[in-house]
Amino acid sequence: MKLKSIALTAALVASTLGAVFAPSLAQAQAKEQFFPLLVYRTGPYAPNGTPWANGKQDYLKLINAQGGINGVKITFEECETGYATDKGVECYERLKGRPGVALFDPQATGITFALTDKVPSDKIPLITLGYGLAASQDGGVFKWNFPLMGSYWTAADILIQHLGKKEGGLDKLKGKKIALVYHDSPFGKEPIPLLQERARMHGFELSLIPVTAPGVEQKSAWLQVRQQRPDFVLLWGWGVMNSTALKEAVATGYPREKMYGVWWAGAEPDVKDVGANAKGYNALALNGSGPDTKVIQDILKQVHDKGQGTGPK
Amino acid sequence: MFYRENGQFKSSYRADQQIFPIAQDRIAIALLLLVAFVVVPLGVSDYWMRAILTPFLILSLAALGLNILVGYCGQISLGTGAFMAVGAYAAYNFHVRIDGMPLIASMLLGGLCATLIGVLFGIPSLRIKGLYLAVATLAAQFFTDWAFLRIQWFTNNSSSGSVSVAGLNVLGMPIESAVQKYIFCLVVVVVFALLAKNLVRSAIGREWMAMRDMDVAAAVIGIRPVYAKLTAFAVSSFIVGVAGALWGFIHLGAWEPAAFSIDRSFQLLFMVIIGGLGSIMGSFFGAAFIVLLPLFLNQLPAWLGFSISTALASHLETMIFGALIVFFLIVEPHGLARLWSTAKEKLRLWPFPH
Amino acid sequence: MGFFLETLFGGLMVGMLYSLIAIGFVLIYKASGVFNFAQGAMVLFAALAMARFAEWFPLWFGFQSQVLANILAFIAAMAVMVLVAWLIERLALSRLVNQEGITLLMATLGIAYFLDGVGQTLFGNDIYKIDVGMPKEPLLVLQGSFEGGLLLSQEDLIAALVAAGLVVVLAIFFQKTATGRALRAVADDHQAAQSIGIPLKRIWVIVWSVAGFSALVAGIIWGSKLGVQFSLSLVALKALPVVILGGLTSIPGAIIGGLLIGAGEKLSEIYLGPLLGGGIEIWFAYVLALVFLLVRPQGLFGEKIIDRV
Repeated sequence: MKLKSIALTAALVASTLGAVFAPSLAQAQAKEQFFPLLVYRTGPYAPNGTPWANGKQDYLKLINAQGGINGVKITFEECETGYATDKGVECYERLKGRPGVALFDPQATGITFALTDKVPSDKIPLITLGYGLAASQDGGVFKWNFPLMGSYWTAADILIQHLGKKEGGLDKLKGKKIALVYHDSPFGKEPIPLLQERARMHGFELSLIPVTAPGVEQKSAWLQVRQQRPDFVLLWGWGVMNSTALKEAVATGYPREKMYGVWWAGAEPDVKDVGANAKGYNALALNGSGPDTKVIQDILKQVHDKGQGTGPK
Repeated sequence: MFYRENGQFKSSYRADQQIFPIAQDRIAIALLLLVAFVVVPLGVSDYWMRAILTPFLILSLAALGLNILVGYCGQISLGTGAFMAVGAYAAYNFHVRIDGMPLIASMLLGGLCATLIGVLFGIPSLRIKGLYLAVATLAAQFFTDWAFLRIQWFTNNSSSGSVSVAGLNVLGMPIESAVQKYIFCLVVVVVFALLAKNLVRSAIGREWMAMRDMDVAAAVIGIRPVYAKLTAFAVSSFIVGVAGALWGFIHLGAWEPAAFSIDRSFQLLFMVIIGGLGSIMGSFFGAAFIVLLPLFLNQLPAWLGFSISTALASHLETMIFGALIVFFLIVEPHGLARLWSTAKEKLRLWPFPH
Repeated sequence: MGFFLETLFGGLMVGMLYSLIAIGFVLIYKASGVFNFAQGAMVLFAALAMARFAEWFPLWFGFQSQVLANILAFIAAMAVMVLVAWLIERLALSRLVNQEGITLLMATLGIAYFLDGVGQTLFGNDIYKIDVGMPKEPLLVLQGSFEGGLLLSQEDLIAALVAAGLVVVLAIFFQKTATGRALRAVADDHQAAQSIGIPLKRIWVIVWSVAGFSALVAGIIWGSKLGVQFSLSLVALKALPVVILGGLTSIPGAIIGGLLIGAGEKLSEIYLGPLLGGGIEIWFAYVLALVFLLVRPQGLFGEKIIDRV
């Protein structure tokens, strides 16, 4: 009984101390900008979400190590969403009140949709790097959304044009079959209108094969691919769906050279598990990859070597 | 000493049958409503109202609906997320397709659509019982998950499958700010809680409880199983559908079918079991527990002063959540509502030991 | 016609894989009357243990052979599952004796959350590989009769054989050994079993360990097929229709149910799916189970539910 009351008093004291010190901590950060980072390090999308979150943190640390943006340091805090919309909204509400909030990066299309309605009244920019609402490219309508580095429509377009180039001209696509194996969610469905339009323009046959989220069991999707024998397969997946898709492609004997993934289906965690069988798989990339790019070198030198790196090298 | 019925005599049947026969209870509820309607909007921060109290209210409404089905009528249902989704999408369609449709009307119509679907998926309960029924209701869950992704008409042909609502108002008063949303949800929840409480105290509530306790014996004394079970599904789905419409319109603003996935169904079932089966108050306790606990666990490392990675924090949250569920079930299998009524019983005697 | 057979075979084999998981559910329900919602989490936990131990043992003990690593990892993972079984029995089940079915169900759900969290904390939440030497390339048979031959996945075929083998082993265990008889006695009536001297607690630990063993086998097979990651526990949701179709108390029912659900699922997705836009297989499996239940409310081979008034 006595132990319980001591423990209770200790907890109360700790929480009051925390509450007392928190406001003074906020005041000390006047010359800083706060980047809330909504991440998912758990759940079926963690294999891709974790390295992405690590990379973001490392890059922000690099900027701080190089003196910040015009001398203004960046503080950041991660909030775990697990790719769930309501947790993302809760993180947003909790972190938007912090002083010096510069922007929000939801890291998920579903959360982007929910936050798109809230940012105009809260007047916080919503940055979406290569995902999110494709229609938000129209800045006149979505004044607070800033899609960077292209949207899903751009991605689908680039893929079709690349395929056209490979065949020797977009008109050579006439009569070919292109299958889209997509994650059955707003993320996966975004490119469909553009692909349908392109199919109409160039005369290729588009077949849509949805994979129920999170894409853990894809045998029927790939049996359908085997039945239809398309000339190309576009993979629009995220998280564990990507590696499963590659494994099922191996199991049904579909040549990986004919598979093209969107930039969210082209990361190392997707192929690492499949190993040598993934050889030949193609994917779009938004950034330079491999350890030789300057940014990676800088991060390794200025952040990881000083022991401040996030996650493994 | 304070919680005594001494001197409180009832002189009419009406007075005897009221929901809170003890005056102290009435005072307590009045104070609670006063705090909820007046003190909270004035005193509590926007974050609390938007991110904690509003979801708590909406989920407790859904838990209330589920409690009627599982707690009062004994039909285990794991498809609650589906009914919430039906309510939300149906309300969305009424709201968007019919110009000038009042918000409350579209929500109620959304609830009615959920009722129809609920009765449809409740028909198997006439033949299937127990755990088999629980797993069979998952059919409803997965079917609606698929339907709202695939059938374009439901999402007003949006290319991505995600829908959003904006500019809500009731009789000209806008429902935009945190306070307005909170008060709107509070009003809806109070009205429905009152209706539900009266429903379960009435003849049909007794029929449900008879079906739960021993359905064969109930049929023998003349209670029609079809009527009792299907009305339980109907009422429960209506309330859950309205809660779903509230969740989509008021809390999220823009949603996709994954917002009403199987995790939501499990979460609601947890609320009902932890809160107490067969108790209106229990739904609120359960919802408070399930909504507040993860947030509390999330913030705890920060308060105690040490920082851990978000992944570890999330895993610890899951672990502690699971362990607390088991702990509560061991300590009080009848839920927090039973703890509450035990406390009230003890309070009646206080300060005397017996 | 060739493609129809391919789909059918593929479905039957996937169905066997589902029944691997379903057997775990049936085992625990048969012996202790608890519907173990934590089976999916147990599969994940076992698979994580196996994958990580196979990765760590060569590093810790300094040997190269993958086969030795796999064998040691299997033994270690099995030991871990027995420990988990003992802890669950000791901390949760023994204190929840005589509670209603739904309370026990919720307790197992709580255990599922706990196992998910513990597994990922201990072993990590990346995708991990289980390499037991399963061949990944497909096999093409009957190339004479059908153009291009029929595609058979070798991995799935081996998995189906393993599942069949597991069922035979379990059937022998239940019918022929003394422990098996004790388990059946406990399933029938706890109090009667206790009164003739069967140690209830030890029996429950044994049951959960055997279920843990089947979870480990299922985890290895599925993990080798899909990679070991959090979403492996979601495969259990696809195995639930198998459990209720076959009957909660019947192991052969789990196999037959698996075959029916697997075939039905794949055939519906390939032939009915395109008409409805695709993605129907998961709800179709449940609706199929539901339809069977309407005819036989206790599943195909389950015990008839007797209502006592």
